Order: sequence, then C-alpha cells, then structure tokens
Amino acid sequence: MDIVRLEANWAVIRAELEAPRPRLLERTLRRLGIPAAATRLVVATPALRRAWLAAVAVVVLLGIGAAQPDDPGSLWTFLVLTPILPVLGVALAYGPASDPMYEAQLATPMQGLRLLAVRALVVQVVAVAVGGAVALLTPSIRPMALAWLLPGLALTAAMVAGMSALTPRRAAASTAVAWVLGVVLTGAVTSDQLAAFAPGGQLVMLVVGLVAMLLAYRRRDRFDHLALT
Amino acid sequence: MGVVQRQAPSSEDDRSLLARLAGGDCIALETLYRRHAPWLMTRLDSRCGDRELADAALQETFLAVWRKPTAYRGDGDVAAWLWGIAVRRLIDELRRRRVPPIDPALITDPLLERQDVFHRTAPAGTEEMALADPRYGELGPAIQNLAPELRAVLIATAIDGLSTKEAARLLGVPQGTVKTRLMRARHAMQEALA
Repeated sequence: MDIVRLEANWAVIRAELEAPRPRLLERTLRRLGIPAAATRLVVATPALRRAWLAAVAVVVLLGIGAAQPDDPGSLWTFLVLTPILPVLGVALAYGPASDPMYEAQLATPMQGLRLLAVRALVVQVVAVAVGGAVALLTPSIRPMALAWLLPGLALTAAMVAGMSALTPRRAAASTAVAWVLGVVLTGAVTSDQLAAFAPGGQLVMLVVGLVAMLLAYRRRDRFDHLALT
Repeated sequence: MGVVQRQAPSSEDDRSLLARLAGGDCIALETLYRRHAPWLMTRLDSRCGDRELADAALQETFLAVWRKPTAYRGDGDVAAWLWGIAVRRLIDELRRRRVPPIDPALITDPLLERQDVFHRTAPAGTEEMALADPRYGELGPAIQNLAPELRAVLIATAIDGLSTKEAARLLGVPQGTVKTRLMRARHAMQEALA
C-alpha cells in the first residue's frame, strides 16, 4: 500500500476543508464556466459589490419613474440615464478612492486592462439584466425598452478607453457629459427628442463602442499605471 | 509495505464517526479516512487503472462525506455506502476528463485475486461477504474465468451495485450492451457453477 499516496490525498482533502467555501455568487459564476481567478476577483472586491447595489437601486427607481404614462419626459430620462449607470458603476468599482484592493492589484501580474474589463463586464451584465427586466415589465416604455443597450455598451467602452488617460472619476464624468450633450443636441437638431435612439443613432453608438474598444486595446499598457488621484 | 494494514480497530465505530462529522468534527473525518481510504484506493485503482483518476475520486468521496454526512441513511454498512459514493465519483471523473474507458480485461477486484488480503482490509458489504465466504469458494474463480468484458460488467453491477446505466458509463459501452453482457455473464456463471 502506498502510504505516500494516501498522505498526499489526505493533504488535498485537508486543504480543501480549510479553504473558505466559495459563496453562492462565486459558485454560480464558476458553474457558468468563468475561470476561478476572475470569479475570485469579482467577489473579493467590496467596492464592486457596492457599485452593483447602487446601479441596481438607481435602475429600479428610474424604471418606476419612467412608468408614468402621462409624462413624456419620463421615457427620455430613462433612456438617457440607464446607459450611464454601468459607466458610473465601473468608476465606483475602480480606483484608489473606493477600492481597498487597489494597491494589491497594482502588484499583481494580471494586466490592468483585463482587470478593468472583467469588472466593467460584471457591472454591465448586472445593469443590463436589471434594466432590461424593469423596461420589459413597464408597459409605457416597452417599445423602446432595449434602445439603451447599445449606448450602454458603447459608453462603458468609451469610459474604459478614457481611463487610459484620465482618473476613473474624470473619465466617467466626461463620458456622461458627452453622452447627455450628444443626446440633447441630436434632439434639438432633428426636433425629435429621441432621435439619438433611432437606428441612425444606434449605428453611431456601435461605431463609438468599437472605436473605443480598439483604442483601449492599443493603449493597454497605460492601464498598468493608472493615475492615482 | 506489502500488505494493507488496517488501522487498529478504533474504539469508535463508523456510525458514531458520521454522527460527529455531522457536527463539523474534522478529526472524525481523518479517522474515517485512515480507516477506509486504503482499501477504497486499492479498489478504485482496480476499476480504472489510472491512478490520477482514482486519487481524484478518492478525494471527492471524502469531501462529499464531509459536506453531507447526513446522506448516510443508517441502513447497511458504512463501508458499502462509502464505496457507493466512491465508484460514482469515479464515473463522474471519467466523464469530466473524457478519458477513454480502460480495457475491461484490466478491470478486476482485489477480492477475486487475493481473498485473504481483501478480507482483512475491506469491511465487506453483503456481496463481498458472500464472495469471500469459503462456502462459496468457487464463486471467485468462476468470475475470474469469465471473458473480460463479461467479468467487468458483473463486477460493476453485482459487486459495485451500479445500475446498468451507471455501469455503461463506467465501461464506456451502450446500456444495451451492458444488459446483454450481464445476461451472458449469468448464463456462463450458471454453467460454471452447475
């Protein structure tokens, strides 16, 4: 009988017993096929969880606000604000001001852009899921319910690209301001408040998103030395 | 170390160990491991011929016991219950890693080869008791003399207590094949023991 082998197997079992059991969220993500390193990163970050909660709460409130059929402005508010939420979520989830893991991450071999992308994706997925659910459950906005999806993705990509040069908060603020201005100006020029969400506008956002992703990828080395303040 | 040495019979029996486990007692798991892992490992080896796979199955078995000791319903031998978990973990590992099933000729049971060793090392379930009993002395050799693919099926179903579906997974053959082979194995055994 192989005593060495028996001991080795016991050591593995022992280590497994002593390791903290992954929480429900982490186990679910892993079962979906997401690598353990990424799931750990997602749950190990309290800042990220706060960002989610904030994003979810705001989306729900907006959805309720947009459900007023008498008020034509409520749909506009919903469509303009929802795409920005993931952007704000990422800004809150990242950077030295809000993230206790920030220093530790600078020392890890994981590439800055990949880290940022994983988090942006998580926030985006949550925002899309909740926002989509609210929109589909609210009759008055249903026809346009999903018009903010593409802008949302494009804005997150733009913000990530912006973070290669600016601090997270400035990048988020600039993206948000540019977006609101863009929607308002497009509305004024075409005298249709919601022109930015028409097929033409969607196409523009698609291009913006792709260009931003390309830009972020090309400047990926910058993400390893993000501005500290 | 030639022969498996079972730990000196502990004052505590398997059932009360499981009861302590349910209370989160880590030492109880270790005692259970020291007592049962040696024969479980030998037997897992004999079923798959891949030590890495057998190791993984062994680890998963005790982790499963740790996570849910209450799954033991209290009927039958704890050792038989453990083997039931172990062989199913082995099937899981086989499927997960997509390793091709081994040549049935290599599948055997320690019991069939060296009854004396197995009898001392493995707390036996009903089937093993029957096979190891000198009164049924011809049963072991009769199984050994079966054609390899028939023997593998008989071991998987009669000794391991697997369903035909599980046996099919373990052996990597269709379920229908398991059924026909089982039938042929029975006939062959009847002839051999007649």
